[in-house]
Amino acid sequence: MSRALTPIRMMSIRQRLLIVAGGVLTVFVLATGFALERAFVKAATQGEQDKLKGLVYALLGAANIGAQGVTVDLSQLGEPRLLQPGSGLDAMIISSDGSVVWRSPSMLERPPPASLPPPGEWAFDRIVWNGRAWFRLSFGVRWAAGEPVGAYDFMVIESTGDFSRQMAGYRHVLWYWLAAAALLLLLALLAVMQWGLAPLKRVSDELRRIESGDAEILSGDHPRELQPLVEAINALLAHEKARRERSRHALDDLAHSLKTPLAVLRGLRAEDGLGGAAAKTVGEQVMRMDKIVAFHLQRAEGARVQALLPPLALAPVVDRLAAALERVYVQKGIRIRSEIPPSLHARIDENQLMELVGNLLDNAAKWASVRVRVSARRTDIGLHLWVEDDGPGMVAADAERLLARGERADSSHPGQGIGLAVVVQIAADYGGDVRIDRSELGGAKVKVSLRTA
Amino acid sequence: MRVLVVEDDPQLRGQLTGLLQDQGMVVDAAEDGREGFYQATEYPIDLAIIDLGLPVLDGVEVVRGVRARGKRVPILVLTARGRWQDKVAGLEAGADDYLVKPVHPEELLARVRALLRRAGGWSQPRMVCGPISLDPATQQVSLADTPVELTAYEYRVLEYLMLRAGEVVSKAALAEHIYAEEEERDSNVIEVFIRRLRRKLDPDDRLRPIETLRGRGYRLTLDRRPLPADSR
Repeated sequence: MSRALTPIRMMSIRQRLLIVAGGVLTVFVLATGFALERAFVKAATQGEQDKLKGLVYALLGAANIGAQGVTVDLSQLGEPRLLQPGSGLDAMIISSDGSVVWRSPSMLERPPPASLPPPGEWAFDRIVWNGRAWFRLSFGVRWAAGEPVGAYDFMVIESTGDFSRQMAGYRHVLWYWLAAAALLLLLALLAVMQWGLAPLKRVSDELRRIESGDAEILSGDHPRELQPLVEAINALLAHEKARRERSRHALDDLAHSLKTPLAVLRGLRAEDGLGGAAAKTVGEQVMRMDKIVAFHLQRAEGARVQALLPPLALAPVVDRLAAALERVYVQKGIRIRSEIPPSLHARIDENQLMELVGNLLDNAAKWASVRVRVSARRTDIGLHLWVEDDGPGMVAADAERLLARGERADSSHPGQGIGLAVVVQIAADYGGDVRIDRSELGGAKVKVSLRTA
Repeated sequence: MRVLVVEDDPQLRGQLTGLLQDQGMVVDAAEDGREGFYQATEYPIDLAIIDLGLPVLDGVEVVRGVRARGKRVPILVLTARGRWQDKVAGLEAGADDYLVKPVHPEELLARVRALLRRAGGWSQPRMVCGPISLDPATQQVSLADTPVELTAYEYRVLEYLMLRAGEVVSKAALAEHIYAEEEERDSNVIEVFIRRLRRKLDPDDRLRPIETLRGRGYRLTLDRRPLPADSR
């Protein structure tokens, strides 16, 4: 499954934390930056307004409106920029009919339109004039200090250039430091995550060690939050192990206490008072019971939780069995050749593997004239194991009947071993099957496929 | 032939003993591993049948101990579980064959005979030396295809000599292998058996099948005749 298709509930904890923390951090930094910028703009604009107000007051003090017109004592203005042409700071006095009655020497161009606030009131705004942006402050004045009495607009405008430059500088510093803080926070977050998730990683590492057979249980010291989980897993492992041992002991006891009496029954002879048809019936039934018992005992072998099985090397197990069986069949001169690569591993219980290969090799050795060959290979659909012999081979109908599903040991014919039935069962446990074919050696070729091993 | 049976269940031990005795074998029996180990290492047995699930000393340990003492006697192990783990453990410890309980009497005897033959270097079920032929399964002896009637003890002596055809067998060894531990032994009786065997197998005194080596014992001098190999 590709990463892009990972459903949300299967997303890793680290991914979840990163996504949430990243989102929150982004929103927080953006909102902070925006708020700080707004506050600064507001403060700076207020500052600008206050400065212009000061100039209007100075202009009021320096102006004299008389019958002969408007005069302004430039020396009282106290702002050299008003005297310097094109400085970007201009002052003017506009009469109520909109005509400019005075303007500062700094003003080179056509004056902007007057806002003409009512007397005693201020008007502050930003305008665009002559292709430039300006702050404009107007103060309505009713001039009654002589003749003629009239309403005037005392107006000061200043180009926003300085203000914009100041804002740009501020913005630069603001976002630079916010980005640095965000990065720092992110790094801190990663570190916290690493530290916070470390116990989980440790648990998963330890589980892997248990899988590979390097450890039996999880270690004891974990954070309080994980302790119950760790204890539960350990209890489960211990329980599983104890259960396995208990069932193995129970099976051993059962085998011993059931098979010995069966052996005694089987050993009864005419001298013991058992003869004729009765002896035959007892013999047959004892054999049947024995097969049922043997089948279920072998079948019960293994059956461990497959996920916790360590990978098992096949070659050593097969070699042990081959050596043991060659010893048994030494008189026949049976040679068992194993062509299993030493690197081939499988997730299979060792006891089950021994039952599987033991039964197959024993069968092959029984039928072989001298040669038995065992080989194994892994493909993308699982593990495959072949056991071949140079014996007479097997008739297709027999092979089919032997392998038929549901053909159980207790329903099999007298004289037929339970070996193959056990092999079929074990293969089924690992999601596989058994096939019988003809070998190039001349005899039977039994192929066992184990999908999940 | 002298066989040791180590089995803890008294009934089964009794049955196995009876079965083997019916075949003309001398049987020693032990009920636990320690006793079995003692008898296997101290008695001159020709074969041991050892149950793997024994009290006191485990069957695999008994087998291992016997081999560690350098005893090469054939060993057949009996297992109740029939697990390959157990079978392989027994065989790796030094056993020569295994049987899963409950054993079929015929199969047990076949395996016992096969192991005894194997130990004596015979590969076929019927032992043939010159004109003399002996079938351990039927206990029939024939001389040039004519059946020869032998008593139980005569048969035991001949079987032992034929199994070790070509080897020198001392009078004491013969006595040990044809008598049970508790039986009264008289090595002079061995001489009587040998004399009777010579009379029955070589009435014309031409074949001279059994040679007497003074102070050392007897030897079957006739050549072993190989037959086509059988299956196990």
